[in-house]
Amino acid sequence: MSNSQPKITPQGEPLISAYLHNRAKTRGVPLAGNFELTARCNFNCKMCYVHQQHCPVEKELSADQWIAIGRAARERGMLFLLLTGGEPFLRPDFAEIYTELRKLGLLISINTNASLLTDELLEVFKQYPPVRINISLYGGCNETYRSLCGNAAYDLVTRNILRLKDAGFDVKINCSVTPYNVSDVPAIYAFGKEHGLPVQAMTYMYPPVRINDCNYGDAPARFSAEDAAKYQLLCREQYLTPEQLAASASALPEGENECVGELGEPIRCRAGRTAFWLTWDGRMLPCGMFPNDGHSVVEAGFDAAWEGTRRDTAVLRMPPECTNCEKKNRCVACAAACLAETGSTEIKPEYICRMTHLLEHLTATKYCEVAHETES
Amino acid sequence: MKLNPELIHRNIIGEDIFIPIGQTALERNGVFVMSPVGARIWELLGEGKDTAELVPLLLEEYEVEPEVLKADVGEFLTELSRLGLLLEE
Repeated sequence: MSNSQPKITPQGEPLISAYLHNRAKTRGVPLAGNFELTARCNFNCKMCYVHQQHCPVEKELSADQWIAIGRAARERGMLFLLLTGGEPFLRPDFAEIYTELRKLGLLISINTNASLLTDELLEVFKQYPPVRINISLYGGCNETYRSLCGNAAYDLVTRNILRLKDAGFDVKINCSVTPYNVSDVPAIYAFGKEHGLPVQAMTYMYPPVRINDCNYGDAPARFSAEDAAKYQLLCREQYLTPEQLAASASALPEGENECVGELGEPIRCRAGRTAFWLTWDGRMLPCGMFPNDGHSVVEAGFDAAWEGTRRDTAVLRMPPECTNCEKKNRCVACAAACLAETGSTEIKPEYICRMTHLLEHLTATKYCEVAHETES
Repeated sequence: MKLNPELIHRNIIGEDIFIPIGQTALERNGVFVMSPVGARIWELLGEGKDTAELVPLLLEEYEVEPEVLKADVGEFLTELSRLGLLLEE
């Protein structure tokens, strides 16, 4: 009748989460929410898609508003909630928002840069533990932090990561890999390995269209598609053995795929179907990468905003070329990425397409040879 | 015996989900899922029914042999105790 050991899907998701999302999809239930509590940040990372130098704090929703929205979302079935930013710990009322939402019976994860963890906040977490704390680790030394984030906070961040880990919380390390910190990739993974923390690093950076006046495809702080592929392989090499990489490469289909779709398929991810994103100023979007105005939760209320978001999402179509592409399950292209890259969800994002093909080619070239050598 | 007060019972899309908060969440990160019968037992315990009262009440609600029900309820309560969901008074 009960279950204490969570079962995991092949994608690494708890089975109960995948099961509930599947049920929620057909019933229009907003199972997962993302509350972007602020766009302010004490870092100024070159690739950020939210933070701007001058964020009008008076436009941020109040603690009472976030808690009221949490209650309304809970009534509609929200179970999973990510609190993110900006840097959410910058809000002096973060602890109040967090504890009130946690007491509602929401499974809360937090995105933070970990530089503003206080003793008081640690005590709050001990009293009401979050499900997971995702911490961005942007480098392996203070100098890299200064270069990428404008804040030489490496020592502080790593100290706080270990405080959270030692207190027993589930900590995961995320890393956005850019030309400014790529040389630290081995050090970042080594830190994770030394302390038994999972690391997820990505070289694909969305064009920050929410803050660059919808300048689609413009992402000056990211790699070329060629280097994004090269360094994504570098990331994989940090946690996969040559044999595992060889196995993944040999599992790839041979030759070039034929992209022959005529009509793009509806979006496949959970955005706007079982999940939503609330911006710091109270606008609901399918996910945080959409540059649209969205639906104001403050003006329309949660239910109307969610129904509007569902309607908007239902009519979105992916690029026809991507629909039948045999690489689509290994590609990062999604509706939001297509939009950010091209200005339309229906136009193939060439940057991502090139990156995906190159990553597969590089992996096969390098590791299929390893496989052959091992066999011989 | 009393229910662990650090569990919040929610019905999400027809599933009885029990969400730990507080220290229980630190000890058991995740959720508990119970069958409808399990959730009903939890509800009865929450209403102050003691274990001896459970079997007669459940026999009125479910078609099951008394001995089978008695054994199942005993097993369920043992499991709840083992998981720290049912506490000694």
